[in-house]
Amino acid sequence: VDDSTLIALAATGDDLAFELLVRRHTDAVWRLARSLLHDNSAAEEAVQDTFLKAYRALGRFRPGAPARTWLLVICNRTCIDHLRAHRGSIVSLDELRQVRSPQASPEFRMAFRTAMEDLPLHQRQAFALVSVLGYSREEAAEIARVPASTMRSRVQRARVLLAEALSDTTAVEGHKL
Amino acid sequence: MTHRACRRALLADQMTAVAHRHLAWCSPCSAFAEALSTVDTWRPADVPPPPDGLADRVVARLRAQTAADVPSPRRRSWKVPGVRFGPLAVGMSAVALIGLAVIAGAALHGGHRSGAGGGAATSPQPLDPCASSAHCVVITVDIAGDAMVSGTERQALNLPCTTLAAISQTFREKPTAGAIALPMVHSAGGHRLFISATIQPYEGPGEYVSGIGLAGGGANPNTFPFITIDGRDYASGTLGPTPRHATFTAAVRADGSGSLSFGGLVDTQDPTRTVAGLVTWVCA
Repeated sequence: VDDSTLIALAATGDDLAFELLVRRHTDAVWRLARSLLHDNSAAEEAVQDTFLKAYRALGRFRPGAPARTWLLVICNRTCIDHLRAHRGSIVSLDELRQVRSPQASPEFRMAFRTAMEDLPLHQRQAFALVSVLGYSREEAAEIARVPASTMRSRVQRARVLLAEALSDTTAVEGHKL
Repeated sequence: MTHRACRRALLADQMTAVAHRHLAWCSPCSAFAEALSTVDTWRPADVPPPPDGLADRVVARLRAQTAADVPSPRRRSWKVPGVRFGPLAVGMSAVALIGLAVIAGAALHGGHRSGAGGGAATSPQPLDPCASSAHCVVITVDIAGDAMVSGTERQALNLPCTTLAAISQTFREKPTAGAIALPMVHSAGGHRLFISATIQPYEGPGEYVSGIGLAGGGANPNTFPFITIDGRDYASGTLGPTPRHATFTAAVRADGSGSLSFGGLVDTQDPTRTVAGLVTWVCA
């Protein structure tokens, strides 16, 4: 049974159909929420909020549209709202350990962390969608509900800001990346 | 070449010979190039998989929230008595401790067999799993329709039934997500069974007509939860032109005894076959 059928059934009051939809897309919604929020608890809350909002918005689903994208759009907004409400959410240290150079100094890691935190929300979101989750810029644009050109410029701007912040660090520290 | 032009070339990945020469002697641009390379190759650790039971908790929260909403006349709510049921393995993580308590000490395949089925009459009589336990639950199963089962199973408990009935596991400080696992049935009347159900939200002893979910197959996103009778799965719903939904009612009494009745479970291999049944349990 395809997603559109499930949503159509759910919109007529078939909660079982919606539950199947939940099971089918929980992983994708989780990945987006976890990537944007960097926190398991917050991500779970966002996943739950996403499906609740989707359930209440079933009547507004555009027939034929991809359900996964629709859910990710809702999840994206939910996460942005969360980040706005909890300014200062951080990139976890575990993630910073994945920075390419295993010899990266604590100062460098701190710089990376700071740079990520300092990214404006939309640029951080764009970077997460494209560079972390691997969505194409077009898909990311659809999820963020912005033109593809806007998504491209946000990703580009995020790269510049991160690189500038990190190059300052390397210039000061003489650190070999 | 200016720093700005060099960085533009780097960002666009359109490095010219001039840009390369600039990069060779320009320390700031060189640092920027290395940093950009790090940014572009940076990947966080793989996004961790969703925590166990997340989908179940999503569904449980949907039930709780929609039950709290004023029902729209257009929608059928999860909480409309007698119409809806909880088809999923709701809150399995939440109820894991309770479920473990229920089955702890029970011989998974050694349940005492009796009843009309009598298929196990030639097998050696297994030891009574309750023989060395202070607490015991006796489960009676009657299933009719396109599969017939009648028999009992005895299970040892490591907690008094009254304690189990009183437990309401909470999730994230949300009492509405309280859940209880009903006794799990493994065999009766010589038949191999898997019947596992939960009630969520569970608010203590009483009658329940909603929030009852099966656990079988709960991890599969594309199937309805089911019970299993001798290797055949009977699901709690089907989709298609005429969706079919099973019906459930359950009762839990303060002494820990209770019942689960179901109707309209559909054979996943042959949708024309259905079963209905009653599982009751008493504490000894």
